[in-house]
Amino acid sequence: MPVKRQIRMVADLNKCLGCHTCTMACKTMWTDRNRGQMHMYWNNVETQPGMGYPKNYETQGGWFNVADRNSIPLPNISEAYGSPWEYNYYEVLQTDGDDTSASELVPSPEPSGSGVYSSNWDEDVGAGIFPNSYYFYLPRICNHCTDPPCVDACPRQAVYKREEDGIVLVDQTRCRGYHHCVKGCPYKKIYYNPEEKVAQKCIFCYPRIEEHKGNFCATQCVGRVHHVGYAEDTSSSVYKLINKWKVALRLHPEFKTEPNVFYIPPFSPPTYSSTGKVTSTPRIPFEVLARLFGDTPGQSLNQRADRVKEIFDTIQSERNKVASGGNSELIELLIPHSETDRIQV
Amino acid sequence: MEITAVYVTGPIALDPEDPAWDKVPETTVNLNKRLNESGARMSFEAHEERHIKVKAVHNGIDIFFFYKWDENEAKIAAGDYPVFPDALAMQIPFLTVESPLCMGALHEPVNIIFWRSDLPMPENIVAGGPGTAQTSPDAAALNIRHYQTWADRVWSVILTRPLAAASENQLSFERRATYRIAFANWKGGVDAERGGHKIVSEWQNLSIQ
Repeated sequence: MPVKRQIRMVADLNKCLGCHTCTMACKTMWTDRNRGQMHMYWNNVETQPGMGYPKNYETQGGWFNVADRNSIPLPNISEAYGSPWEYNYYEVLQTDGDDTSASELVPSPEPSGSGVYSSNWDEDVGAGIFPNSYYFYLPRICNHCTDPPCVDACPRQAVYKREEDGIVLVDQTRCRGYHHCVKGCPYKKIYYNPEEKVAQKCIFCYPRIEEHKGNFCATQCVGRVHHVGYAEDTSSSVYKLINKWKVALRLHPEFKTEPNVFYIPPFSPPTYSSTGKVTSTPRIPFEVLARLFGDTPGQSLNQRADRVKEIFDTIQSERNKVASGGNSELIELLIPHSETDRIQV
Repeated sequence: MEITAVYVTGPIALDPEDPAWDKVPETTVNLNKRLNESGARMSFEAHEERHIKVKAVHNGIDIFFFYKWDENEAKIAAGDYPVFPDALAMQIPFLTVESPLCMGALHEPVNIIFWRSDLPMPENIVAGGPGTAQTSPDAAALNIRHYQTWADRVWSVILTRPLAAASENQLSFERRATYRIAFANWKGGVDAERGGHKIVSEWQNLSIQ
């Protein structure tokens, strides 16, 4: 059923500092009380390049982009999501006596096994060779796709897309825990609750949206990364960033689900040459960004890289305009002074 | 096949050792229809030899069904994420003499008792076509008791409920009546059978003495 309007989000990755406040806001709001939700991060922030959460989800495919749906693996808690962990702060930071045996900060308790993994296990690892190593943060929620594969995968119509705003929800009384939706979603943003035996997912904070408040990950963000609004509202910042200025791209459009969360790709500092000179090449290679972001499923990697370059050029020229005393609508949009500047719901 | 729910007097215990079972013939029903009825469109073997042994008995108040089937390994999902539990269902047309085998239809619904190895109690379900199975929400339909054990590579499951419907979501078993009954079986495991991926029997006859 076509929706009357579609909620959208734009995340400006230039402003994401990887503090996980959005993740904690979401966790605190929705998934820290009921049983079986410990592994669920409806919002998570992962380091890119990286394995993501759950492990290697980007390579597993989804309902609309694999030839054999049987081949899509189902993530498990022990190896794909992983158990929560901490560092051995106490051992390292306690200074009683002369004990220096635990001077190194390591995960504690140390997860074991060949498939060891946990959320943010590869935090800040990234790629590249010093001094040209690089990484950036990618905050992710359910994309509330225009063509949601989870809806298509469910044989019971338990997953549905709300007509009033396009938010994708799971009817908890219809769901019988078959996990087809988990397979269906190539972003693995639908989780199974093994205690309640039903699928659960990001609800785009719809009770807040209904009260014209932004979703909690967006409002709590200290970096003011997110813009939230309706695709059809030409006065919204999401419309201006996506449709007018064309500076926001979709994550993995080749998954063919038409995600409604968009990203402004991140600038990066220049690389150093082998002789230590600053070059004009950004540290994050364009092909790395192009592998992640694009507009449509049909675009080639080169076309996607060109779009990233185009976006950087657009933003840079608008920055220059402001630096030389001029005005820029785009820069005004990207420097929201208040919540209402970036959230129009 | 003909399954007869034999009448015995006096109380019957929810126990495979109850003497009532000695008076009941055992019927073996073939589970030979492979279904892949879901949006998942997954592929399974086309045909498979599976069967279930059925006994039924009642005392005028409660009816008991005793099911046994081979299962090399009991799957009771209790741990990791994509493990699906073994399950069994018995389906009887609810309002009509006959209903479509695959979960009935809109005006020919079916009443199902669904047992799954990890559930605290079996579910009373009404369905009106594939994808419409709904666990009855009313407390009155929580009147199904069960016994389950897995030993020597065999599941033994006893399901019992009062003959008379306690809920508008249940059919009443009338004495001296014959019902159509069909069975479904799910072999659990990692990413294994669940929902519309199952093996079922043809319609059988269930006569209540």
